[in-house]
Amino acid sequence: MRYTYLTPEMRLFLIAGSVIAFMFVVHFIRKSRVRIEDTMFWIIMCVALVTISVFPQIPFWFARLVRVESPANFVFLVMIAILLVNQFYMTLKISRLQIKITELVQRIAIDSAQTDNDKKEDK
Amino acid sequence: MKVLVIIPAYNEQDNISRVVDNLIENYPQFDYVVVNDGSRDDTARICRERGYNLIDLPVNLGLAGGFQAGLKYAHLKGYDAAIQFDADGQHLPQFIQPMIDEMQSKGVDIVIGSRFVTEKKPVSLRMFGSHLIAFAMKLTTGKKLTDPTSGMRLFNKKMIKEFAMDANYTPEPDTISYLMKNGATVSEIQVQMAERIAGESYLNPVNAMKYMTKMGISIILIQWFRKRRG
Repeated sequence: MRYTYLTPEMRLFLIAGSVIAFMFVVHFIRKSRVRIEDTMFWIIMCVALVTISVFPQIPFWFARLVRVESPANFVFLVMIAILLVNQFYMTLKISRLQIKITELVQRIAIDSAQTDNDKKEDK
Repeated sequence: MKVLVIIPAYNEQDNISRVVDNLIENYPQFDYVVVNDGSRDDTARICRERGYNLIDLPVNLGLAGGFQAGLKYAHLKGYDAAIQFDADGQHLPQFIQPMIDEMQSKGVDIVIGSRFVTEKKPVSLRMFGSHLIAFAMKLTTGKKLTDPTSGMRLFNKKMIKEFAMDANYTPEPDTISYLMKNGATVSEIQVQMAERIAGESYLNPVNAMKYMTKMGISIILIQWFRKRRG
């Protein structure tokens, strides 16, 4: 057979990893340490991994479509791509937070400087 | 012309009073504001005790964020020009007026207090960096600055507003270069600078390398994609 198999071991490994990751995420949601909307990426990743482990025909089909030698390689490739995209979005998010913090800190400091000046003038 | 002297200060307890007192006593014609950038030492306390005009940032934002706070203040108060003035005593206040005169007579947007208009650049590793940045700016803008890394810069009203509004306008050579490429006019006059008397410069070899890399990438590559506001 031309396309090598997604081995049962690897499928098990993927399923176990996904389930553990899912429990981990849920743990933090229950403790309210993360906003639910921010966990969507991880939940979807877990579900997707379980899905392709249970139905390896899916990565098979796609691997054949783009003529990748092994479905496992195809799974790796897609996962790396998804992680890169996600990391860029995180960079964006951090930048946005940084800009907001800068704005807030400056606003607080300028406002209190003005209050100080007003007090000085009152004296 | 109403001019504000912005003095960003980070851990400058040993220098701040000398620098600000000198300004208050000998140059009362200029308004000033100290921006304490979340210092961990006694900078803020000293400023309060002495009754300085102070913007006290509750957390450290870095030079760009601190200086920008000063420019926002200048913008809010309607100043015609604002000058970036180091709290460590390197910048000398006798050169503020000549810089203002230069801005008014030439009608430029930015005046840089340069160490090397008439003086020759010494040969050192640090100046090698300065040459590299000047070269990168020459490549992108076609214009030459003698002292691109000088921190003593005077900005007019239009620049104050632009700097106050945009998160990517840092008081660094890459922004100056970008503005020059986009039609801002810049002039340099000769100034002298003092050695820092107390405290520690952040310019160690590792930081210098980081700085050069950032400036190089920003000046040569990223400028072409920046979008100008206002």
